[in-house]
Amino acid sequence: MKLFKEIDYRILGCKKELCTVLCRADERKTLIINAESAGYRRKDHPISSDRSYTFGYGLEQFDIFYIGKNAYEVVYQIPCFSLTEYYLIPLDKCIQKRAWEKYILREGEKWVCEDVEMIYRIAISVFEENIFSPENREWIIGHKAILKEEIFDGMAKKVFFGYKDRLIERILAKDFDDIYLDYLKYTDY
Amino acid sequence: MSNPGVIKLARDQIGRHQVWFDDNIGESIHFHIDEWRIDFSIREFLSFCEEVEDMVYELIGHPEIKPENWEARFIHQISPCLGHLKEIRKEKIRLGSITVVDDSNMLVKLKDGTLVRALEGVIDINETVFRKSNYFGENNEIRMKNCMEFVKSHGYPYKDGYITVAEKNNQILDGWHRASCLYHLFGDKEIEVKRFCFDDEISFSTFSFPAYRVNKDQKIVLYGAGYVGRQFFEQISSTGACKIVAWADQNHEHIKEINGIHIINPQAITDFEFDYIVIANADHRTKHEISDYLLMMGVPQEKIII
Repeated sequence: MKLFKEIDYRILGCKKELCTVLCRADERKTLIINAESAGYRRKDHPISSDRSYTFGYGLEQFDIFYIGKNAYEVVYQIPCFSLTEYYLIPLDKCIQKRAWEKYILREGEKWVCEDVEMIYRIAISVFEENIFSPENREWIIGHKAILKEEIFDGMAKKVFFGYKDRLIERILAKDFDDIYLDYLKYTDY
Repeated sequence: MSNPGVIKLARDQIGRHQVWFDDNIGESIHFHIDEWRIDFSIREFLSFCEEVEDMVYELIGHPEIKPENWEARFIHQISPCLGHLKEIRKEKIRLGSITVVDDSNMLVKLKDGTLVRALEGVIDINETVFRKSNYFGENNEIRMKNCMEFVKSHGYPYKDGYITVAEKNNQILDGWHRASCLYHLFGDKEIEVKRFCFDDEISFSTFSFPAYRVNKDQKIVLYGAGYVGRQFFEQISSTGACKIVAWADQNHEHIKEINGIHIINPQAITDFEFDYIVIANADHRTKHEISDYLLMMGVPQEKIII
């Protein structure tokens, strides 16, 4: 992708014509120069502080670039919606660090490694979408071995705290439908 | 890094201090006072709440004010006035006589308020500013629907839960949702309410123009160009509740004009043709002094709205 020429990046996810890509904040200027020279259009992201969203704990605002039908949403830390309305925060620094430490190649592009993708998909399902989409369920079950890995366990604890074990239990039992409400009702802490 | 599973439970300002409670799911309940934080487990927090509730009701010391009768939110809202509470009495009033402070901050009849209009489909309740602080995951519409289901299945009053009104204007203090549901279901029915009677005529609607007393074709003189008068002017201007033919203030020589409107000497009020004079002042005694002055000028009592 010409947009990410000479820039380090990690793809977090791609859906239809939108890809979410993690870049480093100090490479943003290069990104914008690449965008201009390669004919990408840059627009205001729909999730921004101008539209009443609060970016907490140092989370950088997002950028979005269009070329043809495709859009590239660029984030500078892996974000997560909070249960507090219109509030976003970065996922824990151990997850941010892991995202940069390791990547996997898919069709020549750098993606975050699968344990980071796992926690990202789960976080989106719980905090942003409040449901586990069929696509996310399929991916999570297809990669369920990750749920038992120590490195994932550490990351999940930083997002879900005391609920972590119950979350993993429910996922392994494919009990996706009730996870969001179960999480809200959780009081064992 | 912060827990994304954070729900704000409550927030307030006590003196100069910001105080708030957050539920950090899976972690702990955080109680913040400015930069200080105390962490509670769920069990500790619930126990703390029970103790505080016991203390609050003991401090209030009124045999009728019990946690099972009113929402804690209501008690919190009227707590500054509880020292002036003379009496709580049960009465029968018509639903149509109840007044509410609506979205435009004016005091209007229940039937003209946000909730009845939403039940009638005139407005979208989720588009209003009403009730910004619902329970988590509950928007205005869900709250309204839950209330309607409750009223239909349990009737009114349920146990000792009465709609509560102030002594003046039948202004609702607690139970706007229930009153609106009852009005929507039964119209101008007579119901039993509890009336809170305070000494010194404490007013809960000082900054709300009494729109329920006028209609848009009527002419009023606004008396008072201070903070309350300016609030009333804005509310009237934004809603067209009535027509302001003159705006008077004893301090007219100093104020001169507001928003291009000339502030007149109260002595000149009788030069105008009007339906009512609305006194806009926060102080109870001052309002009655102005009323006495207007009566001396020959303004009929029924044309003076305090």
